[in-house]
Amino acid sequence: MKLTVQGREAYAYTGGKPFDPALPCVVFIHGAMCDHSVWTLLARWFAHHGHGVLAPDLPGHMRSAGPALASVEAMADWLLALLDEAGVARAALVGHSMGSLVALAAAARAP
Amino acid sequence: MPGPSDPGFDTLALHAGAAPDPATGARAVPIHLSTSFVFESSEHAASLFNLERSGHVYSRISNPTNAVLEERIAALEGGVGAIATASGQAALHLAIATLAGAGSHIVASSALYGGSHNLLHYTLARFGIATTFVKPGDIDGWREAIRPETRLLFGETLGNPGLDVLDIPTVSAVAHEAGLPLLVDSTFTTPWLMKPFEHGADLIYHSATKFLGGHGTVIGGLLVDGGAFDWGRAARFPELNQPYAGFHGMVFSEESTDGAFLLRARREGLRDFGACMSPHTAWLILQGIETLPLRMARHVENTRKVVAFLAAHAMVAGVGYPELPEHPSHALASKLLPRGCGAVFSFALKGSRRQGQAFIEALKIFSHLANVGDCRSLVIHPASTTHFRMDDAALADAGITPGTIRLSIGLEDADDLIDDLKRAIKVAEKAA
Repeated sequence: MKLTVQGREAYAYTGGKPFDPALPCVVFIHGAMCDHSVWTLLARWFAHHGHGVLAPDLPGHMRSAGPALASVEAMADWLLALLDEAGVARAALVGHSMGSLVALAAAARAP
Repeated sequence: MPGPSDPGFDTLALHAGAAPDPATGARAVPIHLSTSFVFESSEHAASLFNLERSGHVYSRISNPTNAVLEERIAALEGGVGAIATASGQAALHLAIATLAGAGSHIVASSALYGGSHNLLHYTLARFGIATTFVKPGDIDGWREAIRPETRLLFGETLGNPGLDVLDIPTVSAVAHEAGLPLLVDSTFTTPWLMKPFEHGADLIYHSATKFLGGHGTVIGGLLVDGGAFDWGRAARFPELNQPYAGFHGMVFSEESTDGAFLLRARREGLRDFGACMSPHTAWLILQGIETLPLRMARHVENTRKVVAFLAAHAMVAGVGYPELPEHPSHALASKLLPRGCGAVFSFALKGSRRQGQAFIEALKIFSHLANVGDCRSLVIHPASTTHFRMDDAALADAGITPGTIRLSIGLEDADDLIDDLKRAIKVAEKAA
């Protein structure tokens, strides 16, 4: 799905089902130089097993407009803005590589 | 420099995609001759069907032995993945059927294997897919032939049988300007002689029957995706970037950024047309690929010796090998094929058609048959066999005359091959 986050176009893969913010939400955050497609199998499993799934492309990666953000903290702020935009109040964050740092920073900012 | 983190070609040819079998410890790739694979539970089955887990379901769609071959050719070509098919023709059909349908158009080189020409010119036309053929070196011709409904540009790395070298950097640039992919048939070159993705091609296919298998034993094809073409943004490919009703509304370019083409080709083309490869065939092609670097070096070395012999012979009117300065593709070959121009080439024998037949029938080591890329040397008369459905004008466009004889040079002692040719030419001389 396409969203506008911090004034720029952003894309999040939803696991092959339309995103429903009323369902328990799982957010998958990719690493540097990757994109949402590293999460395809996991995202599809959760989306088809009762969860709302967001696997965003981070700014400057694949379908989300740039420029790429220069710090983990800036990416955490962007991720929280994306969750606001998607109407998500609570979510489980799953990260890979740099994405795991973004998940930790986002969790620390919005416990 | 190649090393453990960035293996070289020879290492990949032996190891890519394979590991000792975790169940048995078998070091060679096991042949998984099983149509189907047992589900752990109903939930496991459902998640496999819905692409929520990786795994094999049914060998028409995927198979563990075939998967090793697919990973190996993808690694050797520098692509993101591959699909093994029943034949090279099946690989070409799968590529086209994934991107084109009734009303679509293809721009193809006129210097093609006769079977590919048949498919494009006769058979696909019956299904509403039209093809415009252009001479491979006519760059303006490629550009001018593109129409709004064009879906693909297609040529052979080395055109069959005249060996026109496809100017992949230029033709791929023409394709990309128009938002189109370039598909190349890399059968004659194999990744050992050329890696077309490095020059701008988007899709590659092989008749693995030839040099990859290498021993003239099995028929097979491989379709490889370079992963760089942006299907998601290309307006001409709704099959890849719009929901597909045949798979729960899946949008392939969202599911896989660089594997959208292969995903659709497997989930639609392999599933529905069903031209899959037998795991036994995959295993034999893997055996061949393991020695591809050694064999290709020897194929080229032998070919150079035979070409030198024929080029100097008084009964030979001409030899069509791009390493010779008089070949029209000589400059391109020097740039794109520094390791050699393969082991298949044509030459023209002086004299009548009957003398040509006498020559072929007098050969003892060269086998007279319709194949190339065998470890054994082969000979054929294209105008009466592989290209016999083409009229004289189409033959001329493909660089074939009634006196053209095509050789595929094998791995025998080069001196024996030259002796065989020498003796057969003498028989042809006497048949005048």
